[in-house]
Amino acid sequence: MFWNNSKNGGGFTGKGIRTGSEYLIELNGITKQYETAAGPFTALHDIDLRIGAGEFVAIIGKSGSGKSTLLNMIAGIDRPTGGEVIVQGTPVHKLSEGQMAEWRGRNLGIIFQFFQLLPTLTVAENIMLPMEFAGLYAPKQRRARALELLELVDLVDQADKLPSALSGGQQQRVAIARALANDPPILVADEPTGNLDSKTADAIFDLFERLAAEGKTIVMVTHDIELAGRVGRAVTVVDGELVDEPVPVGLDMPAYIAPDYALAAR
Amino acid sequence: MLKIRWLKIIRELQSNKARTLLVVLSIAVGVFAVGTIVNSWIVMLNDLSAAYLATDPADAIFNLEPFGDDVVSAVEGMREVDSSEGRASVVVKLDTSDGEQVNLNLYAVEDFRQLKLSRMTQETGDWPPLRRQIFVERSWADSLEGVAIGDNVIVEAPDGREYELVFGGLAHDLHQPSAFVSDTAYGYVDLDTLEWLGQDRTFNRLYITVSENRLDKDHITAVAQDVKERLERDGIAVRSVTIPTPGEHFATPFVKAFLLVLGFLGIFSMFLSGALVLNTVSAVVARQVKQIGVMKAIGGSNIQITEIYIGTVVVFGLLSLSIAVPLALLGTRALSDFYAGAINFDVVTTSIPPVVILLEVFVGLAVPITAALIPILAGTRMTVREAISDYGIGSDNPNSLAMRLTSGRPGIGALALAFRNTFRRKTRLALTLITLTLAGATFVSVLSVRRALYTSFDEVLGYYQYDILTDFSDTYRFTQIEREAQRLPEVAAVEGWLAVGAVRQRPDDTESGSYQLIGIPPESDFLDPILTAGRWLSADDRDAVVVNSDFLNGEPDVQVGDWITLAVDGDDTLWQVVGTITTQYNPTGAVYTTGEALGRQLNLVGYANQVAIRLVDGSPEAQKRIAPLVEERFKNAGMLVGRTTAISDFVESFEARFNLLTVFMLMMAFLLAIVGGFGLAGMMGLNVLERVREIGVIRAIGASDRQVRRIILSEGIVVGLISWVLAFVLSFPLSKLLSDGVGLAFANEPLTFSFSYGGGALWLGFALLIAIIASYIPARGASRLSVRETLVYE
Repeated sequence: MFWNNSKNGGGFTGKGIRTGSEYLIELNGITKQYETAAGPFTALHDIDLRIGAGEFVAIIGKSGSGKSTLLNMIAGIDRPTGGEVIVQGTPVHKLSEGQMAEWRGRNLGIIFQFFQLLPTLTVAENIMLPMEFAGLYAPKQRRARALELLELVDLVDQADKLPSALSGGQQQRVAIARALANDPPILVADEPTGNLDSKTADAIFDLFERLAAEGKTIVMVTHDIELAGRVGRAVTVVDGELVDEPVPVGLDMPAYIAPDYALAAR
Repeated sequence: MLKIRWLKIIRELQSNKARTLLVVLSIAVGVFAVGTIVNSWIVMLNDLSAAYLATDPADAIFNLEPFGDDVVSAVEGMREVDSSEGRASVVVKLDTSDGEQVNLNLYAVEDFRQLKLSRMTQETGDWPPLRRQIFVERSWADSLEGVAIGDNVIVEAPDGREYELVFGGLAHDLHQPSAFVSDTAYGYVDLDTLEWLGQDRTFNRLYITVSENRLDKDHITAVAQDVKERLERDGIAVRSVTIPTPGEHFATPFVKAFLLVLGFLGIFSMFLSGALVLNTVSAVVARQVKQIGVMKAIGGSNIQITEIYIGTVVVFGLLSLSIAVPLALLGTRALSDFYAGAINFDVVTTSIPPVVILLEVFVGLAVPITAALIPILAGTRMTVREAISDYGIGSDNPNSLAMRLTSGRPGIGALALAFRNTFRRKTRLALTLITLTLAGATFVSVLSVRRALYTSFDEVLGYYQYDILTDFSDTYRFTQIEREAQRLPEVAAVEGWLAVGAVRQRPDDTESGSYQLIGIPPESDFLDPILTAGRWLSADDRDAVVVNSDFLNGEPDVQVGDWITLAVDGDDTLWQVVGTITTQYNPTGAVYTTGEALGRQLNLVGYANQVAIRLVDGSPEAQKRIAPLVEERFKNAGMLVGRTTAISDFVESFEARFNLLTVFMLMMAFLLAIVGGFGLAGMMGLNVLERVREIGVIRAIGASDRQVRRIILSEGIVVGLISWVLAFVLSFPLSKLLSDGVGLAFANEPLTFSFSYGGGALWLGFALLIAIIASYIPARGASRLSVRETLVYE
C-alpha cells in the first residue's frame, strides 16, 4: 500500500525509505501525448506510481480520464511519450514491441473488457496459446494445466467449446484463466467487468480477490466505484493526473483501506 | 501434438471457406498461366529441336536441272562437303477421299531406308514405299480419310495422265510445312514408281551437309557457292539454293513469335494474380490486426505471430499449387499438342522441367508471401493498444477529390456516401482497379486483335479482285487461253499473266532465294494492291517493277528508284523498282512488272502461263463449283494445267488459322474477366466486412435494406466504371502491340490495326455485371444483419 502523487508534494510516498527495486511496478514521470487531427492531446501528465508485490490496486476515473492509458503503460500495451516504466526491475519502456511481447508472456497476464479470446480456438486452446508462445511447460502438460486453470474458474466442462458458445461472464473467466496460463506474478485488467451484468461482475471480482489473496499483484481499471471499494488500494485519475481525492461514494469500504484515504485526504 | 498456432491457421482457413477459395483461386490463376506458358515454351522448342536434329537435316538444298548419281558422288567428293544425296521432286495431283484434287509434291529416291539427310520416318504401314506404292505425309491423313493401307489412290501426273497407286501408309516429314499451313501435300515413292509415272529416273534436288562449322550459316553459304560453281562447271544449271537456318526447324521463329504473344498474356496474368493476391492477403491480415494485438498481449513474439500468418499464406500457396500445377500440365499438353499438330511434330516430353516447377513455386508461394509480409509487418509493429482499439466507426478518410466531386450536390446523399467510401481504402482500391483494368484492357485488346485479323482478312479479299487462278505447266497464247475460258458462261473476265522464277543477283555477288516475277497488264483491276512506297505500274513502263514486302524482307537494301538484277532462266535482267506493296499474308516474295516488259525479256510477248478469272457470281460456292470446270475446259483444249486455285479456298484456310487463334485468345479474355470479377468481389466483401459497424449505424438512423444494398452496389459500380475508363484507355496501346505481335507471328507482318469499339462497349457491360454480382453478395449479407449484430461485430 504505497503510492505517490508528486502533484501532492509527496505525502506518504516512502520514496526515501524504499529503493525502486523493492517495488514490483514503478512509474516515474510518465507522460503520454497523442497526435490527433485537432492537435496534440495529453492523456497522461507526469505520473509517478509505485505498486508493491501482492497489492490489489484499482485505477478509477471517468471515461476519458486516462485510466486505461495508465494501465496500458504498465502492461506495455502502449508506450509513454516520456518517463520510465520499471516492472520487476525491467525497464519496459525501453523494450521493442517484440521484446515487450515476450516479456509480457512470462511476467504479466492481461484481461480485457471485451475478453478478446481468439474466435477460432477452443477455450482450452486459448489458454494453451500463451504457454506455447512463451515456451513454458512441456507441450504434453499444457492441456492439463489449461484444465487446471479452467477448474479454478469453474469452466472445465467448457474446455473444448469455441468462445462464441460461451456467455460473456464465462468468456471473461476464460480470459482470466488465459492470463494465468504462465503463472505471471502480475495481472492487469482493463474494465474486466465493464461488459457484464452486476451479478456476473460480482463473481468475476470474487475471482480477482481470491487471486490477490493467493499473492498475485493485480492492477485493475474500473469505473465501478463499488467494486473499487473492495480492493486494497484505489488510485484516481482525473484528466491524465493522479489526484488524491478519496473515492466519493461508496463507502462501505473495508476498514483496511481506510488509512490510505485518510492519507490521501491530507 | 499439433501446435495451437497451426490449429489456428487451419481453423481460420476452414471458417472462411469463401475467402480461402478466393485467395487460392487468385494464386492458382497466376500459377496456371505462368506454368502453362513457360512449360509449353520449353517443351515445344526442345521437342521440335530434338525431333528436327534427329532427322539429320541437310545444310543446303539445291534445285537443279536433272542429274544422276555421278553428280552426287562428285559433290560428296568435295573437301568441304561431308555428304550429299539426290532426290527427285515432282508435283502431281492426288484425288482426295472427298472427291477433290490437291497438289502433291512427290519425292522419290532409290531406297528410303538408305536416306542419310533430312529423313522422313514411318508413321503407319510398312516403310519404305515399294513399287507402285505411295506414302503420304501424315498431316494430310484427313484428305485420305477412309482410304486403308492397300487401297488404291489416283494420282494425276504432270502430263495429265492418271495412275493408280497403292496407298502404303503415312510418313512423317518434318521438313515440309504441314497441312495446317500449306495447301500442297507431300508424298513418297521409289524411283521405279516415279519412272512408271512417266517421269525420268533422275534427280532434281541435291541435299548436302558441310564437313565443318555446321552451325555457321556464312560458312555453309560459302560452301554452297563452291558447290554451285562446281555444278555449273559440269554443265548443270542451278535453279535455286536453299540454306535453312542451321540447326533450327523452319517453324521455330513462328513458334517463338507465338509463344512471345502468349508469354505476354502470361506475364499479364501473373501481374493480375499478384495484384489480386496482394489485395486479398493484405485484407485478410488487416482483418486480423486485433487478433495480432491480442496475441502480442498474451506474449506472442513478432516471429511467432509472423510465422502464423506466413503459415496461412503458405497453406494458401500449397493449396493453389496442388490445383494449378496439374492443371498447368494439362494446359501445356493441350497447348503444345495443338501447336505441335499445326507444325507437325510430336510432343514427347511429359515431365515438368525443374525451372517450370521453380517458377510455379515462385508465383504460388514467394509472390503471396511477399504480398502478405507488408501488412503482417505493419501489424506486428503496432502497439497492442493500436491493434486492439477499435472505437466505433473507422476513421480512414476518403480522397479529397471524391469529396469535392460529391459535396454540395443535392439529391445524391446515399450515393455520395457510396462514392466516397470507394476511395477510403486507397491501396485496396488501387489494386482492385489494377486487376480489373488489366483484365479489361486485355479483353478489349484481344477483341481488337480479332477485329484486326478480320480487317486484314478483308484486305486480303480486297486484294484478290478475281476468283480463280490457273497455273499452266507451259506457256500459251493469251488469246487462246481467253477464248477457252470465255466459253464458260459463268466467266465474266479473264486476264493472262506470265509468272517465272527469278533469283536476285545481289551487289555483293551473292544470290537470293527464288522469287516470283509476274508480268501483269499494268491497267489490271484484278489486283488491288496497297502501295507502301512509290507508285504502281503504268502502261508505258519498260523495265519498271513493283516489289512486295516479303521480297523486301529478303532484300532489305532495295529501295524505290534502285536498279536490281534478276536472273531469269539463267539470264540476268535489269529492272528499276518504282514501288513497294504489302504482301497479302501469303508469304511469297514477288516482283511485279508489266506483262509486256516481261514478255519482251523472255521473248514471249502475247503469251501467258497463268490465268486469272473473274466470275459472274464470285461467291465461294460458285468458285468451288466452277474451278474444276475451268480446269476441265483447258485440259480439253490440250493445255497442261499445273493447278487451279479458287481464291475462297485460300481465304478459308487463312480464316481457319486465324479463328483457332482468336478462339484461344477469347478464352483467355474470359478467364481474365473472371479473375477481375474475383478481384472486385474480394474487395467489396472486405470493404463490407470492415464497415459492418458503419452499416449498422446507417441502419440505426433509418436506412432500409434496399438503401443499404444500394449504397454497396453503387460502390461496386463506381469501381467498375472507373476500371472501365482506365481499361479503355490502356487497351489502345495494348491492342496495337498485340495485333503487331500476332501479325508478325502468323504472317510476318503486322496486322492492319483496327480497334474494337464493340469490344470496349462489351467490356463496359461485363464490368458493370461483374460489379453488380461482386457487390450483390456482400450487400445482401450486410442488409441481413441486425443493428445490434453489426454494432457488436468483431
